[in-house]
Amino acid sequence: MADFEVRFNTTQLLAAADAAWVDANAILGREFQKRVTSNMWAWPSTPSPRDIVDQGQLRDSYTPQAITPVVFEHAWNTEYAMAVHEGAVYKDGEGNAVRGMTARPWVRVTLRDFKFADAYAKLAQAEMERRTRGL
Amino acid sequence: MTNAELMTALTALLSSQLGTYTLPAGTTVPAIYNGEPPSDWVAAGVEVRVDPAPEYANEPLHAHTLVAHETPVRVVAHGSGSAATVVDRICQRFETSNPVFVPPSEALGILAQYTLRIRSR
Repeated sequence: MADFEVRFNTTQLLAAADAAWVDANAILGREFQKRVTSNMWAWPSTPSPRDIVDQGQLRDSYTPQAITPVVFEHAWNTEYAMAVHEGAVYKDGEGNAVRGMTARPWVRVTLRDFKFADAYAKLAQAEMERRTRGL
Repeated sequence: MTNAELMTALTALLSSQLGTYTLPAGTTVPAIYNGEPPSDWVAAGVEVRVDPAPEYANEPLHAHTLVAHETPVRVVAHGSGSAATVVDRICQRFETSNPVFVPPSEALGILAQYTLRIRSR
């Protein structure tokens, strides 16, 4: 009786995982930007709550990039991005008055609320099933 | 740990690193404040601002969820002193989140500072 053998095409499976990783990060990027553009942030003046879009520079500076097959970078390339996210103490006017700017941590809030691992797992499963169909 | 207890612990821990507030009358006090200091107090050196409003972090465990109490702290550099050294001392003494550096900007008036959250359960 012949031996029974199962061979897995690991290249196919890894390619599926790589594709799902990029797709999951694209969804994560949209979730990040949703929290930049949504009226969810308390403001000391009306209207409140409001978004954190002023002239649109921060929102438009968002740059997603796959660095390696396992590293994906989400960046907002403005000088003040970190100050908006973490809040900041800054000098106003003549440089003497010091004011505080409230934190708007859109990345931290997204990572708390959006189940990235679940999204990636579902996408990876679907992609693997699609690529291995007929085995 | 209550906010008052944390303030006492931080003041003692950082006594040799803290800068000063100069009050309108000319007196100076250590540059550590619970909340936003009065606008007419002038900070010099390293300033520590402790947020009186706590945050809560849910950490999923095997059979339940742990709710950790987090106090946001901001360490601001006003010229002299080392904000990084102050951050290091806080991290060595307490359980904290990863400190985040907010880079300065001359054009926008943003001062160099760190933010972190001190955890307690």
